[in-house]
Amino acid sequence: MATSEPSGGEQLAAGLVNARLAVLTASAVSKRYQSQDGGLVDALTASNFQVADGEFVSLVGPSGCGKTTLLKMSSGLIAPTHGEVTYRDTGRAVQPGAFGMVFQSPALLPWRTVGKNLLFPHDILRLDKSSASERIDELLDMVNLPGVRDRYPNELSGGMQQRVAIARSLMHAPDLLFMDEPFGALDAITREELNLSMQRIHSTSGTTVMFVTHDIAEAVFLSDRILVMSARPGRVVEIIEVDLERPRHLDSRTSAEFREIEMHIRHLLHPETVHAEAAS
Amino acid sequence: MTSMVQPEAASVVPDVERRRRRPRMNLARLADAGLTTLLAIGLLLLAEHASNEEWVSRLILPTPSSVWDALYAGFSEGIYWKHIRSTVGSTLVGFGIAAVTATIVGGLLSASQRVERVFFPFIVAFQTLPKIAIAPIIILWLGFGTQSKVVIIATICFFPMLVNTLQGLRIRDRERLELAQSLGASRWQLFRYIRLPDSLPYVFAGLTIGIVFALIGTVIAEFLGSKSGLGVVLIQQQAAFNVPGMYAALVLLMIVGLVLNFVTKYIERRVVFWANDLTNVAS
Repeated sequence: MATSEPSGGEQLAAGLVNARLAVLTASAVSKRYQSQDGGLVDALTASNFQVADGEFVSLVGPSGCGKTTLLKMSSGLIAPTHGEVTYRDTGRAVQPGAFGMVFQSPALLPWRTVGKNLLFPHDILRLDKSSASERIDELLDMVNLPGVRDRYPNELSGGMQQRVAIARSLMHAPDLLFMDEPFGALDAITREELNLSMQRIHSTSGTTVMFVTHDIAEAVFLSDRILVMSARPGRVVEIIEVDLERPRHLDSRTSAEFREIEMHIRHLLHPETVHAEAAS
Repeated sequence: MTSMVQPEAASVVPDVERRRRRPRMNLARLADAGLTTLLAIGLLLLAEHASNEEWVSRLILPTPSSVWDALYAGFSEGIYWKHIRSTVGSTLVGFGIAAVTATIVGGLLSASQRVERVFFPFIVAFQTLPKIAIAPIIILWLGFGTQSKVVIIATICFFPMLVNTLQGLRIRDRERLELAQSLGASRWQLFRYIRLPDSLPYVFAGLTIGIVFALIGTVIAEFLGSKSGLGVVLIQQQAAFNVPGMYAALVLLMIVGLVLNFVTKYIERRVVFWANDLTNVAS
């Protein structure tokens, strides 16, 4: 485990690669909202980090720490108040269509079959559909859902629907995948299955992933690096490199190294509580 | 790799099977239907007896058998068909015009939130006005006849359908919107691929309400002045003090209403089969 202090301008992510390989570069991004009563709220204060090609990076932190805000600014869906998140060497934010998106809800279209749902990116991006059929089968295999192509979403369980959503996010072979608490609404067992699948999907597809979660073990299990955030004001407090061997197994979570990282993050997130519990 | 595939694959099959199974309620449903039928027969027999014994004045409650005789006579003399055709025809034409207009106007108004905000108070104002009250003015404008009848019907059933269409075209699922944005969807694509299909359960709930309103409109238009229609039959029988004849017209109106409602529901189930909360939507 290697950690680094992200704040302080020049210092960027731990052990990162030269800038040429960075898919995303966040320089002093911050977001300030106008609240209902007219006051200004700092959802996120100046943050710096980079995401390297093919990397799996998680954002972990308590609710209200600006994880989702940071994810949306990274995807260009919302504009930062100050600073910027640039994509590769374009000098600007990633453009719509160049990335995939997975949310907490599957956000499938119930009037379309699974196969047609997977074609949604092709419809919007007006892509050539001649090889789409094979791609659908390939991706459904990748997310472990063979043979559901002609089913409607409401015939599938929540976990299966989320798998379809992941397959859809990869249909247009995006360079980057943004996932906003994708397994947050699932039960523990389904969640573990999806964590295993996600690891496999990441290694098979080679796509760079930015992943928001508030499940620490999930973040450690899946990530190459973890951005630990804290609330009020939201900021990145530490960047942790997870150098556990891959592929990781469910058993890996009981290893000493795994636990060490997990505990470290826990201390960062709520130092008082952890100490108090330990003392009692 | 294979070891991690298996637990996942195992979870796939039973889930699908579970969701495809039909509910085992059929026998209980059948028993309920039987009870409903028995209750209906019982009530008819009670009415027959009550009327025969003059527990209730025959002006209020004619015997069901006399209503049946009136119906039989009406059909055998062939006088009903013309009126049924007229009522159903104008209902469908008025309803059709209103449905198409409501969908187009709804689509246009929802094109921008601003437009909708500006126009919505007018819709609310018109919706609060009892549309029946406009009928005399429409007759003043267009005279007695099919034209004014159709306009009255369309006016009465237009607003509930418009309001439902507008409601349906609103984006209710934020993540769906963000998904479309993440792919750079244009406003037209957002409308075509998300808002329009997503509105269908609401539109159909509106059509189901609309068809009922249309029939009400037809009868009112026929009361106010028309040459044909079941509303006209009702008024004529009233003038003749023929109570069984009036009840016969009511029965026919009920059947027309049921058939129209059934057809709308049937089409609804075929088109928006994917919506699993149809009953919640109808409110």
